[in-house]
Amino acid sequence: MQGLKIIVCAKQVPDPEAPTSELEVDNIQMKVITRGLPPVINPLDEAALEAALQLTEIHGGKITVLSVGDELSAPVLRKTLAAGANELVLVQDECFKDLNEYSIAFVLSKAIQKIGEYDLILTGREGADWHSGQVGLILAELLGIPAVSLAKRIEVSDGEVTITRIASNGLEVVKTALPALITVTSEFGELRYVSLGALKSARTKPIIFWSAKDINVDPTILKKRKIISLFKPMRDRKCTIIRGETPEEISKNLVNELLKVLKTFYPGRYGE
Amino acid sequence: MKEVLVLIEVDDETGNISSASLELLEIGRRLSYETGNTLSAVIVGYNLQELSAEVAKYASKVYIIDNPALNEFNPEAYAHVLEKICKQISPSHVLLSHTYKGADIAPRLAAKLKVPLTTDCIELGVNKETGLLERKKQVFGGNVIATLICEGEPQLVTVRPKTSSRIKETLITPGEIIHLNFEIDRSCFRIKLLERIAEEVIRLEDADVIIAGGRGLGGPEGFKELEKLKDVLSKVFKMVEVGASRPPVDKGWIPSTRQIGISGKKVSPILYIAVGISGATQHIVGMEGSRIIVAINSDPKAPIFSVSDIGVLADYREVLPSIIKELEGLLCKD
Repeated sequence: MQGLKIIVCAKQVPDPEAPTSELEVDNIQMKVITRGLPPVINPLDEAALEAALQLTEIHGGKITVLSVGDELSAPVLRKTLAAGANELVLVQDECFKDLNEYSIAFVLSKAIQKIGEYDLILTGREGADWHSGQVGLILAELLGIPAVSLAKRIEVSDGEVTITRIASNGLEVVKTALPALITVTSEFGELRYVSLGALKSARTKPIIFWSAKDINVDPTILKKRKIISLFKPMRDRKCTIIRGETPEEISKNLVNELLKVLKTFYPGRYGE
Repeated sequence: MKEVLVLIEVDDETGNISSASLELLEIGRRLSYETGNTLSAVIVGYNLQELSAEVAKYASKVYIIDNPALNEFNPEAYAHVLEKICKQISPSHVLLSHTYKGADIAPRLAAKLKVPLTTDCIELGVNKETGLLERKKQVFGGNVIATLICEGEPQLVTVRPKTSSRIKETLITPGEIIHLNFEIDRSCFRIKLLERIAEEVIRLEDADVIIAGGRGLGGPEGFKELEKLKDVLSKVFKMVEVGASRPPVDKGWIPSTRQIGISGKKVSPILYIAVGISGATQHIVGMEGSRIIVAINSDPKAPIFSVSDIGVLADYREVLPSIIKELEGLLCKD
């Protein structure tokens, strides 16, 4: 085998680690407003890229990162090239705005057909925005290849891939033939550190831009996500801060306060 | 009459209907009542006689897909047989639990049926005008609650466990048990199970007290300190467990089975003690249902304090030993 051809599907999402005060909802337009949140690569898709990098370090090959959206940021997604991906394909079109999961998977499948041959498709288990966990598994169905979810370890040998995955009561080790699709969970580990120098030199690497037309997608068959209500839940409790001069004093006051609260909620059950 | 179809999962430990499935049956019962449809259930696996009789207490029709080839859980084969049953009975709704199994089957089934799917719903309603399911779910790390609607039939969702009570109402006459002898396509067995590595089963969801550690613990040793607190509290409370937010799991300090939050477990103990947890929304979503929340954190700006009842503004290394001592003193007096 002449190295592995790996496609990593990566989604651009509003930074899930950014202050949540920047997140707003528009209840008339039915939109989540993320203007104040910087776009980043979905962290779990970054983990999928790390998996791809580790595999090509062993087996050689080529990594193509594929992203679909209506407003993609090339500088943000270029990080994947800086980390070691060989090719970045951005499929961008106004008609990809707010698509539902099935339609996104469909667009990805059309882009993958255009990319051509592959051994593995890797992606994160879910997006940090809508937490759907659907696109990878639907994509595999559309492509007619086996899919394994929640991988924490991936090994390839002799045209087969062995995956250690998270299951109900522990781990499962499963095996399937290539080509296959694998969704990666956070236990895989984070993407390697990308230095400023690498980011700079990745600036000259070319990016491939495609539109819906380029991959033969008819916009009229795409379906959008329909939202009928949005709100930011309030979560505020009245917090009593425990004071004290020494750790001992703090501890004494804490235990007393705790007993007080337990007695209010569960009279006669605790703290007698 | 159209059917609301519920996928029944088996509790691996007891062999009975899983508690998530009993909750799903209750949701299905309510939906079938609101839409004027029948409640049906489907069980996939092997040796399902006893289980089907149990399910028939609640559902008017119980479809059994009993096949030795389905003895081991296999999401490809499960999605395949569910597709077949959907094509045969054309249900109005198909409900799965958002468990490891349900979450692995549902997107495959959605692709096969070409219908939209909403995963991890926390509440379902019926739209009065359209009859479509209103699907409420937490998005953007739990910072936003969205209600979605989707066209198409069946209306397909996965539902988060512990968001409903379990079904209690039994039928006067048990439901009809229908055996379906589907041929299972060989293409469903492309993935081979080589090994199952069992990990200690931790039922964080059932704990009375949870002591959870975060990034602020500084390393795996921090969890040893939490274990000491657990030992003391175990003298008073029935079930005390140690949990974690996401960073310690990502860093490999503690296994993911103890993770609490949007991508981990959702818990609601009597007492939740958050140690060195800053309180990212994705963690809060998993523990905000706790009765009493205590936060120990040295950062006065940590958002965890705004969801806590009691706060201790200190480095846990300084206060935890004396808290343990204080509790020991108190408990030994009795």
